[in-house]
Amino acid sequence: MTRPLLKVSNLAKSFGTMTALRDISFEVEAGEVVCIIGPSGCGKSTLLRCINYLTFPDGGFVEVDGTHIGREPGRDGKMRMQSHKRIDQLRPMMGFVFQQFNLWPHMTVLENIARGPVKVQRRPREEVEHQARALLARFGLAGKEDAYPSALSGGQKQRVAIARALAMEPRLMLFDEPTSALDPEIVKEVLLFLRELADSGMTMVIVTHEIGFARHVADRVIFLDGGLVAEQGPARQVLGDPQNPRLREFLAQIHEVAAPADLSTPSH
Amino acid sequence: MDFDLVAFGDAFPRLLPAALTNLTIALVAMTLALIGGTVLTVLRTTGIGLLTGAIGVLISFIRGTPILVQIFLFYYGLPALGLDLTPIQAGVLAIALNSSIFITEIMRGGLSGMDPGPVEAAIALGVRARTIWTRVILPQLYIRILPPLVNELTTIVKGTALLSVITVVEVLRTAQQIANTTFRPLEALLAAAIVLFALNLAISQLGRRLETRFAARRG
Repeated sequence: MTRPLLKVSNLAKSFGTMTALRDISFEVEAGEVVCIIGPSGCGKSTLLRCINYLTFPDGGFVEVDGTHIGREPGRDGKMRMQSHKRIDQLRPMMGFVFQQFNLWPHMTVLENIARGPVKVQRRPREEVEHQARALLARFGLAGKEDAYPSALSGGQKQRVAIARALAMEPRLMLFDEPTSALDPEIVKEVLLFLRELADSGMTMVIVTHEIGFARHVADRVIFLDGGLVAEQGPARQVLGDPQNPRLREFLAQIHEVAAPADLSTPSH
Repeated sequence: MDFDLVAFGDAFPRLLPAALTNLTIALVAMTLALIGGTVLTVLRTTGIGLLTGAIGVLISFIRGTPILVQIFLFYYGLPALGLDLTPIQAGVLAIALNSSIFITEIMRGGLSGMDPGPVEAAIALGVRARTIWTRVILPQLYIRILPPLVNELTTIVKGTALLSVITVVEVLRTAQQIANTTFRPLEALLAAAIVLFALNLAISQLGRRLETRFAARRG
């Protein structure tokens, strides 16, 4: 049996008296695209943030390709926290894309992308810039190298943010509601782009409200409710024939508000 | 009114070279104050109780006492502690400390309004805390607080005139010397005011240019 690329076991997190994650376990195989859906406040974003230790979970383990990040079991069976330095070293295995893009406003687009590989991975600047330019060209952003983020549209910013994460050559990508801060007409542009990325074989975990996108792009869908995995399985099965009553209710509500973005046929 | 235009005009050739002293003192003090203010700001975020407490006491003392008194304290106090300083050095240090306090307060205000997102993005990429400060937080913060920083520099330039009381020969003291020989204090002092005003006008204009230049890089 092959080792999963991402293994999350018994992850738990509380904020004061509020329990965000109760006991979350799931696995993601290399090349898989997994969408995490669920009602507001169900812990989706917290889960994603706990996976790369932006938020430190209270319990449980995260393994990327067999390497523990953050907390690891010692030889004596007791849990051991890794040093911040070690966690910093491991984080780049996962690219993180934020809802609000979080580009560095004082740096040019090229610098936003090149800074991580140069500073963190100590790769030669020339090689990194070459790679960054190639990424920008692939993402339809050629010519924007010297622009500052403030001059970009929301969709462009999000593509730069994705390029910044990819430049670190991560093993998998985590997306935290990547289209929620975008204008409706730009959402589709970014979703199509994410689909291309998925088609290129990138392993992706996406927290999203775009059920249509999940249906067409995700291999698997995880439905979170009350800090637990309430249902998971192949996208078509979970979204087409939901078993969990809360999931049924959730899907019904979503369909009432908005028709899902149609991604069945690429626009180009 | 008895205003001697000739005495007024004659004051400038002596005041302008003295203005260079004011400008030099101001720039050195501002540089030190920026460094001091930044260090204080970073230290205050560590959350070490004793440290932030001590800084808090220092802040309230500096803010609660006249800068003129602080200048005298440095001028008479530091030599008493065994530090052999020229009046200019003591004055620069006094102004720099005073200004560090105001700058760290400006920086704290700027920090609290800053979007934490870019910092999280850096964390997610594995950037170390130190580099996050120097490459992500501080550059953004300086751009953000540029207008109050320029204002602080003009305050420092005005403060340099206070060093006349500890025998630093700058614009104000030069004007007083001129007045002592010409018996025309009003003319000499007005000329001194105009020279200092011109300095600050130039600084504010420069500040505005910088603001425009960095506008695109603001978050």
